[in-house]
This record gives sequence, C-alpha cells and structure tokens, in this order.
Amino acid sequence: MAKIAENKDNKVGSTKKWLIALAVLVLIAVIVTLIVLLVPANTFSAIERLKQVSGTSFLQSNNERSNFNKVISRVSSSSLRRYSTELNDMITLSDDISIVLEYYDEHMIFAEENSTLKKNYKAIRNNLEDSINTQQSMNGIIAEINGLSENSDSHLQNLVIEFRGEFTDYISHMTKAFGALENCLDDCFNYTFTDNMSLNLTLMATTDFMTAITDDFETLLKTDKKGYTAQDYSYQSHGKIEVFDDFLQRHIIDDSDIKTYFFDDDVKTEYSTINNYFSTYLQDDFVPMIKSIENSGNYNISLTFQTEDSFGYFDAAKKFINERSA
Amino acid sequence: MKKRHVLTVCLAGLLAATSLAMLGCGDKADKTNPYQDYQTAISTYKSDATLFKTGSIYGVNTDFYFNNFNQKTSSGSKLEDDKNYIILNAVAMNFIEKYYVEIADMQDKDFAGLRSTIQGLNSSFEVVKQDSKNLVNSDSSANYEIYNGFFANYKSSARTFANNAYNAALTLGNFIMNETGVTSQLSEEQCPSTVIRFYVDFQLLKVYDDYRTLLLDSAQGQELDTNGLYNTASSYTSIYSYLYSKDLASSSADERTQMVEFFKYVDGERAKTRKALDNFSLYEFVNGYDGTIDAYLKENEFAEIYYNQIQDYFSGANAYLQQIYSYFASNILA
Repeated sequence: MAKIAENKDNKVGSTKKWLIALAVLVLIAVIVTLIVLLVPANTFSAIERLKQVSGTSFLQSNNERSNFNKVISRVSSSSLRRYSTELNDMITLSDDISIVLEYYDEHMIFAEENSTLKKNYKAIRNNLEDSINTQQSMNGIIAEINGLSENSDSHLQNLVIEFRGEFTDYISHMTKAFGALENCLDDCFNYTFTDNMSLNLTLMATTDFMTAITDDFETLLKTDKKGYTAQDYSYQSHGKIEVFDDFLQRHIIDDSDIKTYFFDDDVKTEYSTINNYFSTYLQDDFVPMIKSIENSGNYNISLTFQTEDSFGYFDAAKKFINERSA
Repeated sequence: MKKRHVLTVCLAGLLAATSLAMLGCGDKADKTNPYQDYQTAISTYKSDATLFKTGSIYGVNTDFYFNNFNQKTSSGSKLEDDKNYIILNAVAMNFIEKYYVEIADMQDKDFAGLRSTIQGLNSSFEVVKQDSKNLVNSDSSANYEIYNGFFANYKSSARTFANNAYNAALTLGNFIMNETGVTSQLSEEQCPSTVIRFYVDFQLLKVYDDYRTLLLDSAQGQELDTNGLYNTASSYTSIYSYLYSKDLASSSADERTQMVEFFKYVDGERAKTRKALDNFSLYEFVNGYDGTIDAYLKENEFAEIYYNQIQDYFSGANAYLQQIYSYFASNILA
C-alpha cells in the first residue's frame, strides 16, 4: 500500500514539473513577443551605414585606386594580360556603384518610417556591412599582389582569381543592398515628385544591371579557375558594364527626367511606352535584355522577339537601356 | 478570502479614480465660435495707421502693408527695407481677412486651435505696434543710427508678427478645408467658384509659407546677398504675386480632381523640404560657414543632402516651385 501511494506521489510530482516548464516557456514567448512589438526597429542604422559606405566604397579613395592601378600594371605586363579588361572594368563598375550609393544616400534620409522600411532596413545595413568586410579582404589581396616578387605569374593568377572571388562577393552584397533600397524608394516616399514611373524604372533597371553583371562574374568564377589557361577564359561583362556606366550618366547623374516627370507630358509618354513593354510582353525585368548586350562593337542588345511589336514598346525599352549617340 | 475581496475592491477603486483623473485632465474642446475675435482683430489692426497702411506690393493690394518699413541713410533719406517682409505678411493677412467669415455660422466645432492662433497674433500685434510707434517717435529727434536701432526692433517684431500671421492663416485654412469638405466639393460636377477660389488661394498661401520658412526662418529674416539660393527665392515672391490677380480658368470635375491629386504631391515634396529646412540653417551656412558646405558637413553629416533638397525645391534649373508656378499659370488660372 505504501508503494502504491509512493508511485502516485511520483506521478503527481512529474506532472507538476511539466506544467511549470510549460508555464516558463509561455512566459518567455510572451516576453519575446512584447520585445518584438514594443522595441522600435533601428531603421536609422541602415541610413547611417549607407552614409558611411557611400563616401568610402571600393576604389573611391586615392590610395585604394593607386594600389589597384599598380595591380593592373603588373597584370598587363605579365602573361596574364588577358585579365586587363576585366580589371579595368572593375574600376568602372566600382565607380558606378558609388554613383548609385550616393543617389540612394541623397534620398533615404527623407524616407517615411513605414512597414517597407522596417522590412528592408536590415538587408540594407547588413549587406553594406558585409561589403565593408569584403572591401578589406580585397585590399588585403591587392597589398599581397603588389608585394609579389617579379617572376611569380602562377601565384599572381591565384591571387587575381582570389580577388575576383572577393569582388564578386562585393558586387553581390551591393546588388542585394540596391534591391532593398529600391523597395524603400518605391514605397517610403508616397506623394513626392520623385515618386514616379521614371524613378521606378531607372532603379529597377539599375538593380537588374547589377544582377546580370553579378551573374556573369559568378559564372566566370566557375569557368576560370586557378591553373586554367587563356583558352578557358571567356569574359562577357565588358559590354554590360560600359552600357551600365552610360545608363547611369543618362538617368542618375542627369536626373532631369525624374525631376521633371510630373510637369513634362513628353517625359510621361516616353516612360509610359517603356512601361507598356512589360505589360505587353509580361516580362518581369530587364535582365534577359541586359544579359544579351554584346561584348564588342556598339554593345548592341541582341535579344529579339518573335512577336511583332507595332507599338514600338520593345524598341523603347532597348533605347532606355542602351541609347547610343550616332 | 476576505483579504482578496478587499484587495480587489481597492484595485477597482484605484482604476476608477485614475480613469476619472485622466478624463478630467484631458483637453477640453472649445465650442465658442471665435468669429468675433477675428473681426475685432482685423478691425483693430487696420485701424492702427502707424503700423499698417493700405498699399500695393507686386500687384497685391493689402490693408496690411507694414508702414514706415524704412532704414535711414547717413544723409537722412529713407530707404524701404526688405520687401519680402511686406509681401509675405500681406499674403497671410489678406487670407485671414478674406476667409475668417467662413466660420461665422459654424457651431458645435472645436475652435480651440483657431482661438489659440488669433490670441498669438494679438500678442505679437501689441509688440510690433509699440515698436512701430517707437520708430515713428524717434524719426524727427534721433540721428540715423539710433533710428536704425529702433528699426531693427520693429523689423524683428514684424518678423514675429508675420510668422504668427502664417500660423493663424494656415490653421484657419486647414479648419475650413476639413469642416466644409472642400476636397469632396471640388470633385462634384457643379462646384461653386468660391470653393475653387478658396482652394487655390490656400495652395498659394502654402507656397508663400514655403518662402517664409526659407527667408524669415532659415535665413533669420536677414538679406543674404551673397547666396544664389536666397536671391532666387527672394525674386520669386514677386513673381508668384502675379497669380493673385488672375481669374480661375474653367474646370471640369475631372480636372479639379487631378488638381487635388497634384497638390498632394506638392504637399509631399514640401514635407521633405521642411525636414531639410528644420536641419539646415541658411543663415548659419552663409555667415557661420562662409557658404562652404564642407565646413557645415563637419557639424552635420547630412548637411549637403538637406541643402540639395532645399535647392531642388526653391532654385536651380528645374526648381519645383518654379514648375509649380507654371502649373498654376497653365492649368488653374486664366
């Protein structure tokens, strides 16, 4: 009889412990929920990080540029001179990234703190912080290359490919940051004059250019590895980077379309036609068109459509990306 | 059991007492129509011939022209001072004078905001009235330096009065917009021309308030002759005045709806610019940092961004206020 009573006591004690554990778990869940709901999101941290990075991104300091130019000189006078165009394009692309960062930096301080900003600020901040770390890694490799002795082309190739890997990470972080920033500029500036179709299409195209170029570099990392020869090397980004640079000069440096959109019916018509391209052909973005930019000649867009376009939407979209002077 | 019962009763009592206290301490609505306050204020201001005269500035007629708004030269001759003070004040006071009558028959509204602004205006009137009197009294007896000292006081209190005039005018305008449903009336097929006129005058008032914020607040009411932004904005206060003499163009319900939509964007851009002006002092920029943005950046890392927004709004090739002027002239006014 005593044993049965003992067993009964043990069972009751065990149940009580489970109840206490459950109560503790519920309490923790309530506390965490309250913290998430009541502690405000530090969205300003993204804006501060953007301000910091926009002034100091890769190759914007004279020192960094000078050191990188030494790398290009070294590579150009070696058996690895096939990498020269790619390395020079990295300067152009880095300058273009700086232009885009500065453009977003000009606007984000005025962003409305709404749900879109709260959803995107971490992606902005974290990717920009990762870009700073990657920039430091790139500078480390640059210093190593510049410290190499004369006859070490195979070691030089290894370092250049390693550098390409870091650079690819860098532009990948920037692409993700731009995507999140684009979401904010679309949605955190309701009822301002710059909140218009020309801005939306320009920023969308900017992110798409970065996506296409990043994809190219990621492919290059797989196809040109340490010890590979010139026959294996196929660099496809030159045309895209040249066109991207020109695109930014026409639409970001000269942002008159964005600023006059509301007041100029011709500008409204132009961008409405470009926008109709997407409605008619149901394409999500410009990436396929950008990816088809040729590497030589006039950097033509080689993507064509079987569907007859009597309205000129496709031509308008092509011109938007790559209007070349005669 | 008894203890728990007592505790529950005490807690309930505390809760009830707290609720009553909060109700008691809350803002009480002011249901007394301040129409008479406006009427008295306008009549009093107009009757003070030392402070105000009837005049015309840049084509805008007003009974609230700052009288004796002059500096003296060493030879004793008088030069009319900063016309921006005169036009800015005239626009706000004209708006109050024209539209306070709209509240005459209103009942059962919360008039607290309106009353507060007219009281603020009355207080600053007393100060500027006395300063203008002191100036006039010093005219014959004092040398030009002492006269100009009195003028500095008059100018300072005139600035405060003009700022309060905008506070009063904008509060009145927002009150009428909300309480008479102006926006929904504008979208009706048959909309009275008086409603359209009010709406257009209110948008013009807000533009002038933009100039007031730049010239009287950010520039601290000082003429910054060395600054391109200041000069361009200053010149536009006269250009905008041409719009006051123009009649309304005829408009359909759709066109008026588009107009309302357009001014939502103006308000949005304005909010950005006000944030910039809250964080960037044009006076400090010119006088404290010698017009050098790099120097200002050391105090405020966003200074250049704010300055660019202010320039985009007020001056430069595609300045928004210049484009808004064209919109008024082409779409709204005949």
